[in-house]
Amino acid sequence: MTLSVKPVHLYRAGFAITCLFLLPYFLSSYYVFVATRIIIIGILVMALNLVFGHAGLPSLGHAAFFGLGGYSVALGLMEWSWGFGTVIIAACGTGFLLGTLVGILTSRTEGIYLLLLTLAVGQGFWALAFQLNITRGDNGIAGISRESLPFGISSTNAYYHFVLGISLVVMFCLWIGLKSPAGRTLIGARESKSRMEALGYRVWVYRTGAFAISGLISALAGVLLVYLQGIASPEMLSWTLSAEILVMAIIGGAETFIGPVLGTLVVVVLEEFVSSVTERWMTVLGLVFICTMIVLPTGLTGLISRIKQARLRTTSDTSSGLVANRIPD
Amino acid sequence: MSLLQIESASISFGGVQALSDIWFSVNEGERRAIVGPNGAGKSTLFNVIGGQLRPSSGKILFRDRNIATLPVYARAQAGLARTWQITNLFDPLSVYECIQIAIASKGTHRRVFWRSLDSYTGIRAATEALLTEWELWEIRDKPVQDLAYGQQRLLEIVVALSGNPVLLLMDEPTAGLSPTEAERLTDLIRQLPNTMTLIIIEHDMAVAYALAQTMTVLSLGRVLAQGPIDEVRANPEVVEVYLGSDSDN
Amino acid sequence: MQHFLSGLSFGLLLFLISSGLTITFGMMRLLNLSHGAIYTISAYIGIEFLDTGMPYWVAFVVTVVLVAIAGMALERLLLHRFIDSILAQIVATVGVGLIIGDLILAKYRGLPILPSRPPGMSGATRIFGSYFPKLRIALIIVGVVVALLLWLLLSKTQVGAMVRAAVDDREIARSIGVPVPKLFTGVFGFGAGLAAFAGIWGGAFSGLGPGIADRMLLLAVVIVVLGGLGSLKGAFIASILVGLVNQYGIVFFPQFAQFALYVPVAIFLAFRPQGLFGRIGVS
Repeated sequence: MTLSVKPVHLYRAGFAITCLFLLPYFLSSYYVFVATRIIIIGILVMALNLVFGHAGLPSLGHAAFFGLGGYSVALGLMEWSWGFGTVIIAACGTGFLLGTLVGILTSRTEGIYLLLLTLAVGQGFWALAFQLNITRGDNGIAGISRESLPFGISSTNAYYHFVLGISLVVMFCLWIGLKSPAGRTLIGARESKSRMEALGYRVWVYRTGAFAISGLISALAGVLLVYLQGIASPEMLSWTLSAEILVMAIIGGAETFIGPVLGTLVVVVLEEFVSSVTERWMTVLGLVFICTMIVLPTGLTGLISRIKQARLRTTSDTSSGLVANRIPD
Repeated sequence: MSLLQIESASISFGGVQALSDIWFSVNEGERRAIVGPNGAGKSTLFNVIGGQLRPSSGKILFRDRNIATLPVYARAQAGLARTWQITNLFDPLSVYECIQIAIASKGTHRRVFWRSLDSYTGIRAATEALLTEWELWEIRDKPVQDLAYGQQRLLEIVVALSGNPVLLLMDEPTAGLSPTEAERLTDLIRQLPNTMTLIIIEHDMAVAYALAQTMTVLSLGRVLAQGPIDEVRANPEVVEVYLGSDSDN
Repeated sequence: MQHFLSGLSFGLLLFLISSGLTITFGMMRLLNLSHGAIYTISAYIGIEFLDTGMPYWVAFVVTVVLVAIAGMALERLLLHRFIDSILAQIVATVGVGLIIGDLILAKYRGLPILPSRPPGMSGATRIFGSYFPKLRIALIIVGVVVALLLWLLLSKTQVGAMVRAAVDDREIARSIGVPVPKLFTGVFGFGAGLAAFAGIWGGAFSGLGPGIADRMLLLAVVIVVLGGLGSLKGAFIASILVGLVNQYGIVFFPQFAQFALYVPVAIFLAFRPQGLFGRIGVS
C-alpha cells in the first residue's frame, strides 16, 4: 500500500479541514462537544494504529496510555496545582516512557501473545487507577475546568478549534513519520520481520520507538479528553476501551492512513445516533461489528477502494479498444 | 583468502540432530553450490550462517571474526545477505519501494523519522539504477503480490544484493521456475561481480554446474563431500546418495 | 486457612470458565471475547427456569445443555468463518458479547441478581476450625472432579485424542481423518456449557450484574495465556494461582490487589510468551 499523495487528495483534505473548522458555527454546543470528543478519540485511534496497522503490533492495552495522560491532568490540577505546561510535559513524558517500556517488554512477542501481554499491562494500570486512594477509585477525579488553559481556549468552540488544530498537527507528523525511513522500516517489518533484519535493520528499536511515540500521542489524547469532560475516571483505562479503539481501526481499515479516522467516525457517530433513537444501541453496534467482519474484512477503506476499482473497470470496458487491454488491479 | 569459515558447527531441535560437526570454508570471490537430498540440512546451514538460528556448538568466522553470537541484523551490516526458498518480500509494497527500503538499510539516515524517504535523491538514484540494470523498470510500481512468480524470484535476489553484500546466500533461486526462466535467471546470476562471493543451495544440478566452481554435498546433517565440482560429482558416495533423489529431479 | 480455601474455590471457578476457552483457543485459534457474556447469561437463563418451578438440578442441566447447543450454533453459523483471522474474531466476538450484554440489560434493567444456591448447600460448615460456606467447598470438590474428568476425557478417550491431535496441528489432524470442523463445533459448545455451569454456580455465591461478564472474561483470558494456549494442565494451575493471588491480594494489599496480579503476569509473559505449558509457533 503506497502512501502517495495526488493533488486531488490535497483538495479533498483541504475541503474536509475547512468544513471541520466551520463546524461549530452550524452546530449546537452539545454537538460541538460530541465532535470534539470524536476528534480526540480519533487521535487516540491514530496513535494506536501506528503500532497496530502500520507496525503490525496489535495492542489491547492502549487505554493505559490514554488514562495516564488523563490522570496527569486530574492529579496535576487537583492534587499538585500544576500549570498547563507542566501537565502536558508530564503526560507526554510518562506516555513516552511507558511506551518505551512496553516496546521493550513486547520485543520478543508478536500476534496474539502480544495482544494478551499488552492486555495484562493495560489492566495493571487500570488496577492502579481503580484502587489507589489518590485516584479516588471508581468515582474518578472530577471538577477539572478549562479555566486554567492559556490562550483563552476554555469556551466550547475555542476548545474545539484547539483540539482540531492539535489533531491536524498529529496527523501531519504521523504522515511524515510513516513516509520517513523509520516509518518505512516499521511497515516493512510488519510485512516481513525476517527480511528486514536480513537487510540489516534493528527491528526491535524501531518498534520500541513506535510504541514510545504512540504512547505519547495517546497520553496527549487523554489530556485533551479530561479537559473536555472535566473528569478522569478508571473507564479511561478499561480494556473495553482498548478493544473498542482496536475495533475502530479494523473497521476503518487498519493498514491505511485515513482508515482509523473513518472507523472512529463511523463507530462514534453510530453510538451517538443510534442511542438517541433506541435504547438498544449496543445490540446495533454489536450487529454492525459482526456484519462488517463478514462483509468487509479489509475495513471501510477496502470497500472504498473496491468501489473505485469497479468504477475503473466499467469505464475501461465502455471506452475504446486502446484502454480495453489494460488489466485492472 | 577465506571469507567464511565454519568450524565444527552443530545444531539440533526437538531431539533431531539437524547439523553435526560441519566444517565449511568459502574463499572470497568463490561460487559454491550446496546440494543434498531433502532434509539434509541445507536451509538449516543457511539459517546458521545468516543468524536466524544459533548453533549449539562451533564457530562461524566471517572475515576472521566469530559471528556465531551476532544477531541477524549485525551480520547483514557486516556484509552478509541472503534470499529465501519461499519468496520473502513485502507483498503490498511496490517493486520500487522494496528496492528502496533495501538500499536505505545501509546508511545513517535509516534512523530518520522527520523527513520523507523519497526526498533522499541519492537513494532514489541508486534505486532507479538497480531497477534499470535488472530490467524491472517497467513493473516498478506493481505491488509484489501482483507480480508473476518468476518476477518475484528475481526481485528476491535484487533486494538481497542491493546493499552490495560481500557474501550472498541464495536458497534455491530457481525453485519453481520454468526451464526458460531458470536459464535466464542463471545467466543473470552468472554475471554478478567477483567482489561478491556466492553460496547457492540448488536442487537442479544443471544450475549448480552452470554457476559454481566448487560444491558441498550435505546428507543427514553432515558434510558428505566438498571440493571442485567435477571431483565431487564423480565421488561414489555422492552418486549413491543421489541415485534415489536423481529420479525425482 | 479460610483465605486459602476462598482463593482455591475462586480459582476452581475460574478453571471451569477458562478450560473451555483454552481448548477452543488452543485448537481453533479462536479467541472468544464473548465468553464472559455466555457465563453471565447462563445464570440468568438458569434463574428463568428455576422461576418456572423446575427442580434445581433439572433447571441446571437444561440450562447447561441449552447454552452448549446455542454455543454450537454460534460457532457453526458465525464464528467458524473467522477461524484464521484473529482480528476479525476480536471484532466479531466483541460484537456478540455486546449483543448478549444488551439482551440482559433489556430484560433485567441492569439490576444485580443472585441465583439460588444448589439445594443443601446454603449455610456453612466447620472446616479446620472456622466456618466456611458449603457452596465454596462444593465448588472446590466439583472443580477438582471436573478437572479430573476433563483430563480423563482428553487423555483416555478417542474423542480426546482427536482433540489433542487437532490442538497439536490442525492440518495433520485433518489429513489423518479427524473431522476437524465438527470437532470444533462440539468443543466450542462444550466450552460454552462449562461456562454455563460456572455461571450458575459462580453467580450463586458472588451475585451477578453488569460488569461481571467483563471481569470474568478478563481473568479467564489472563489464565488461558498464563497457562499456555491449549493446555488444560496450564489452565488448571494458572487458575489456582490467580485465585489464590487474587484472594491474598485483597486481604493483604487491598490497594494493590489487582495490580499485584497483572504486573507479575505481564512480566512473566514478556519473558515467556507461551505461558507455563503452551507452545509458540504451532499454527
